[in-house]
Amino acid sequence: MKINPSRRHFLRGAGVALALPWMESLRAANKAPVRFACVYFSNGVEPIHWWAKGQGAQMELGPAAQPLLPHREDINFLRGLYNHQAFISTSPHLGRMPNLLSCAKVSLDPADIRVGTSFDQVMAREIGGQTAVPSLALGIEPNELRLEDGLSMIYGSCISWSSPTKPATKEIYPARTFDQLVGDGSGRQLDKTILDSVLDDTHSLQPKISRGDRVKLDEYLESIRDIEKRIERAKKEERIEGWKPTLAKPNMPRPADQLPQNVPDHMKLMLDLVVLAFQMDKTRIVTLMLNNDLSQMNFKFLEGVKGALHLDLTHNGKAAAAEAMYLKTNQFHVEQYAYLIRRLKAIDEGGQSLLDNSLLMGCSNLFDGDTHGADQMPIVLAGKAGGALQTGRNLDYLERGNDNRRAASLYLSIMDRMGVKLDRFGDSSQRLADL
Amino acid sequence: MYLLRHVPFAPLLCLTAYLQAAEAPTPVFKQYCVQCHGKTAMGGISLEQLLAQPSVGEGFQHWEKVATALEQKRMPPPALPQPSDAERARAVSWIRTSLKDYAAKHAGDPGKVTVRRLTSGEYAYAVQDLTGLDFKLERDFVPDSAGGEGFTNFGDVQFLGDANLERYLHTAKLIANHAVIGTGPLRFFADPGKTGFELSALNRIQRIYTTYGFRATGAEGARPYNLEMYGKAFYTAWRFKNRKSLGEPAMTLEAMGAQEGLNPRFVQHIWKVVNQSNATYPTSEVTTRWQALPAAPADKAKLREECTKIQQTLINWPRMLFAAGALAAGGAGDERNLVISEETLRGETSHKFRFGTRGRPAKKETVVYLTGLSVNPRSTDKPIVLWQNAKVRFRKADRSAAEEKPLLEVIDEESRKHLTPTADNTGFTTQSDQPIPIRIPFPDGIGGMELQVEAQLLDQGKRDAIVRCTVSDQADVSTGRPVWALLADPASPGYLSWRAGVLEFGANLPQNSQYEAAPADRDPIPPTFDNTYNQPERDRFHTTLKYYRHDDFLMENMLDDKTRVELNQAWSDLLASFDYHEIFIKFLKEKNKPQAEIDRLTAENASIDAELLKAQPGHVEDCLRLASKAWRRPLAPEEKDKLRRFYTSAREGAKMTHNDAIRALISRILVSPAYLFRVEQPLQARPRSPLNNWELASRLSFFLWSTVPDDELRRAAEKGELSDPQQLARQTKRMLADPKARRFASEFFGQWLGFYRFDEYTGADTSRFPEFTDDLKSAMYDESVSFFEYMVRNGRPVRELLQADYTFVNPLLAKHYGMKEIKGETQRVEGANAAQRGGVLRMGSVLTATSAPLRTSPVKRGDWVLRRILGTPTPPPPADAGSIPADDKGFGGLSVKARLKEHMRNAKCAACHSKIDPLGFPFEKYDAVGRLRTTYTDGKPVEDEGGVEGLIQTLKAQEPQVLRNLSYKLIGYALGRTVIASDQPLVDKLVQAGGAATFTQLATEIVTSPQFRFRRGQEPAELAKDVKR
Repeated sequence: MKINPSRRHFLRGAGVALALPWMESLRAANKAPVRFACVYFSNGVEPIHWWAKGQGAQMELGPAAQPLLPHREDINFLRGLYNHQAFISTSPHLGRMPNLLSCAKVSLDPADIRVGTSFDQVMAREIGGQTAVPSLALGIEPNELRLEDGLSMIYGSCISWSSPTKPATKEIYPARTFDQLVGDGSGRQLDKTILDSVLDDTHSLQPKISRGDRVKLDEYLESIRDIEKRIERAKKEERIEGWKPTLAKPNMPRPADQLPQNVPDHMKLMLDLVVLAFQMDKTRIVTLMLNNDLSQMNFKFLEGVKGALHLDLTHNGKAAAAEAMYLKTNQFHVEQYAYLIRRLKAIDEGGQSLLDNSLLMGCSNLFDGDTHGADQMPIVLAGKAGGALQTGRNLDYLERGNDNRRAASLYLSIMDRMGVKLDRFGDSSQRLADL
Repeated sequence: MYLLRHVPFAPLLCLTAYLQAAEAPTPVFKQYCVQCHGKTAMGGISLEQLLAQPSVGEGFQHWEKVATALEQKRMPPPALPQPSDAERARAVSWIRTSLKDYAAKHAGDPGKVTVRRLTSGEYAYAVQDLTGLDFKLERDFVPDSAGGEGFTNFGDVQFLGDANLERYLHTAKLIANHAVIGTGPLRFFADPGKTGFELSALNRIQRIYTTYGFRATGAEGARPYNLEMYGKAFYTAWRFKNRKSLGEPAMTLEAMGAQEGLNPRFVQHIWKVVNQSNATYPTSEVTTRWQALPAAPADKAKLREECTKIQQTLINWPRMLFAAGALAAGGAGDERNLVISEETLRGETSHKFRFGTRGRPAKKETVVYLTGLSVNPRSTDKPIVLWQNAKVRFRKADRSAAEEKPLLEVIDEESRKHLTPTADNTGFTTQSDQPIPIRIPFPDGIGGMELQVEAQLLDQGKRDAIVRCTVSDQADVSTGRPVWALLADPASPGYLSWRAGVLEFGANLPQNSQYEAAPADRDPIPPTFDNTYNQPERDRFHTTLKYYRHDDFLMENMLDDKTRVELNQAWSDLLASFDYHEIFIKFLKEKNKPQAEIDRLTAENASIDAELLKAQPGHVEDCLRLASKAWRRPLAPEEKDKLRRFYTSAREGAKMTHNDAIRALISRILVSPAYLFRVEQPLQARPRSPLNNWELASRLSFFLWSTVPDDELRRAAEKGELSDPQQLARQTKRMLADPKARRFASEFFGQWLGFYRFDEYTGADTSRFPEFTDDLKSAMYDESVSFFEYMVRNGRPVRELLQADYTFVNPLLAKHYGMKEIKGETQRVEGANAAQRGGVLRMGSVLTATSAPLRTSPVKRGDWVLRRILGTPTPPPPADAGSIPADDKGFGGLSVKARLKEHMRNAKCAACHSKIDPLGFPFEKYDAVGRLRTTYTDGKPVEDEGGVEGLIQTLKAQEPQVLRNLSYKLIGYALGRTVIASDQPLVDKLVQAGGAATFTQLATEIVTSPQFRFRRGQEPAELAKDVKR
């Protein structure tokens, strides 16, 4: 997936109105936009606990997916999708995780960090300019500062990649996320003055340094431009579209500066911020990692669970008691996703709920967590994408042949509904059938 | 497979092209290896790919592994067809020779180093060194990640997105807000903004006062300090007087004073005072004694003692005069500040005393002492004090008032004998320097009383009498709380000349060289305010003005010029930090106070404003200096212009105040790429080019200290010294002995050995291990960092990494480890091996970090040894590997060891676990939070296969491998890249230095190597692209 920089700059430079083809933007003028969120949890599920039977109101769900039962008419349960590049990677963890949303190959050369741009970031680039914040990449756990089998744990800490070689900055602090959403750009004249001036430093450095280094400085330059644009956008805040968000001022207090002390509070706060972002239409694209890959998140906060997610609970030696605990962690993760569904459903956007105007993807990169199984992935979609997606379905792709069950096809289909039409993404050039 | 079948000779052709020494044994690899190590690349190794590389240098670590596996006959696996011994030998020798040839040909290649961004750690340290403040930045305020040889200082994993830049911007503004922008040079203070400005000034004033000044009497709760300066000055004056006989005739007074740590001005002053030939009283008390000191030669120690006694005289005299308590002498009680002023020396012809004693419980009697001490030595006759209208008011034990009686009716007979009643029997007289005891027996139920009495000097003829009159319940007034008055005829010439003498004494030999900047209860507030305790004016001063300057003696007679300027600036800043003058003047006007004071304040205000204005251009220049330090090089003239223009346009264009513009300029300097990125500029089109001195200083400083270069490094860079490897070695030695080398311990060793930021470790289950508290975590972290700091700074041999017989513990950690009880702070404990501690293998941090939350993990620990100590990690487990239960309570009768035996039964597992497990079991005697144990929670005994002692022996035998791994890590950390094939000669050099080498030695090898001192030039292809750009 490569986007011509000149086209990109054209899109970004031209501003909101031209980000969509002209006809489409007219059509969209009075319609609420579609919001996309991906809620990710690491280390997969226990296969016998993850299934769906039947359709619509009659749908039955396996134990791990139980928290979705009240929402079965709002979801699509997708069975059998897989990420081919993850499947064939020799590295059971880091080769199979950072490429979840790009379906690209993960470079296993320690000197070359390379994955592929994830589709949320492709969308951020294409349509992110319509909102104050192009996209959010959120998480709960910080980047781990170590190597795993000689590879940087930056891989295990990021699912959103803004370029093949650069992860989107993951934010784990609720307060900073809040500030990013709520800051209106007023009082940022000083920042703009400072940034304008250092931009000049960067330009004068550029001719003097090597080409390789210039790539790094380009990251810096681009960051400056991104901030300046954000300041500009936030300052304007007038909309060309007729549609108005239902919330103009935040309806939650600013979170404390520190990280929340316990995991459930932290996750809830981050999910509330996603809701806030969507409701205020500050961004339409979010990814949220409930944990990092190889997470040692201690789940003692769940009744009857002891130990760390990866080492103790996922790799549970198939001991019955440990399996039961692992199931509880699966359910806990799905419950977080269900919480987001519940909250969005309760918000009315003029006839439809915010959930109806959303497309929420809940997923993990592995299926059988204990065996690092990448032959398929647990994926659920929720929300009607503004009417572009029928829900209440249980779709099975497992036996349709590898070419017809690629996750990248799903991503193409999702991007369609978000207004980003690509011919090809990752390892697929076809939309997911029957969606 | 595909590749080999269709284009079998393509890789071969490449190889022969650059290798004439020997032909690659490609057929051997093809026949025996590529089935698994081809397209499938088992264990991450593909010979197909390796052979396709243009040189062995590219995949050298893999080639090393291949050679070792062939050599040790670990590959091909036993079940598969084996090459002949000759084939094997030829393949191994080809690999080794090719690698060696490659390394020799490319030795010293600086390698590709991507520009590095400051890590969060480096940023925080640099800010600390630039501002002198620890901002306690969140450790991940911009997210880092590890790469290369496992360190965060690896450019390729340092990303920068707009969110990071927002953090940098935010942090830079936060730092700038701590800038102190006043009448002096730019500086930073711990508190931000306006408060910080005020506190910084107060702080500087206090520092100067307590460093250079002295106080004999403190304010409430305060202690005297620096009084020994007097004694030293008397001694210096004596020495100077006797300089000829002491054999130092050329020595100046000032030089002698300097030897005592005294300022020239102070010794000059004292010299003048003590040499007065007819000093007035009480100065004469001091001069007489000093002038009577024996001439040299004399016992110097004794002389010093004498001088201290003279010092005591001068402290004691006011204490006598004011009947002061013993606080200044080290006791408790009277905390009065003994101010000598016209006000405090006011003589009265008569004085009404009221003296009370406390009431509870009921007592039998009390004794009151009346004293009339003559304090004017010129008055020859013993003065007589007349006491009149003396009454006693009794108080019951419950403090309620009881009857009131004339004193003479209630005192006992014995006391009456000391008193001479007046003719009319309404009073009595006393004539004695000694306290006169008056015993007052109490009626039943009485616990206290108040004595009221009027005293006056009896004989008006003796007009120069001056009597310190006291009433107390202690014979020794200095131990009680007497009431006091000075009886004298205020108009008499005797009194007036006495007072002049005392005032002179107070000015020349004061008790305090200055008053507190913020007058406490016992220091006088400005004379224009009513100083009475708890009165509105006094309270108003304390709540609205707070500060008053009274340090003439210090300024005049003690400070050198530079400190005078600093003190003046600090005072100007303090008074400019809020509307001091406005408030003060408003008060004066309101109360119709003297116009002169209003004028003085108005002038002072104007002059401070002028000073502030005058300091402004200096602040801009200070910012340029800050930029040069932060950017680690001198600024080009156009850069200076640019920064100045930034300031000017902020002032003129954006209409910012000077303060805001300076803060903006500081922020701008700290978000510049020149600060955030460690930019090194290559000379064009050369294979490699030497780094310039500033770049070298920066590399050195970030390598060893994780921060910007200090003044000494900057000096060396300025002089161009760093081009000389010997100078680099000298600097390395200096830097690794410096306290800042502690950062090397936490950054390098922490990341390498896995205790980085362990004080924030959350991996242990605290409900199972409640003793794993934050304090314990910090103690473990401190142990690890202190251990390596000690090794590095004290030049300990590197083998102590594993073998040290010492470690660092605080009382809490010693207890946790079951070591002998200790007291105090973290300290080095020798003989730690006896307690099964010492070296990195037995550190709580490492033992905990390599455990699961609820149990130990021999696999993790074994893997840690392989990976971090030996540098020979096994490939990751197959995807479908099983696992053991989370909790060692849940093994169902099987020991960990028995469980892990499963590894051996399964060939797939055994290949690696036969290497991992034996290195992990020896740690079993240490539980999941690093404590010693002998049994598991199920009561089964711990088996630890020879224990850590055995493991240390095993590793001793593999010392070269341990050193090789250490070398890789150190080189990778120093250079910010992975180790490459051409680094082998350097690695060999480090390994050859052996276990007795010090870290300074190893670091010096690296720092003086071409890898460190040079930078790769641009590839011709890259240059061509540049031209097109």
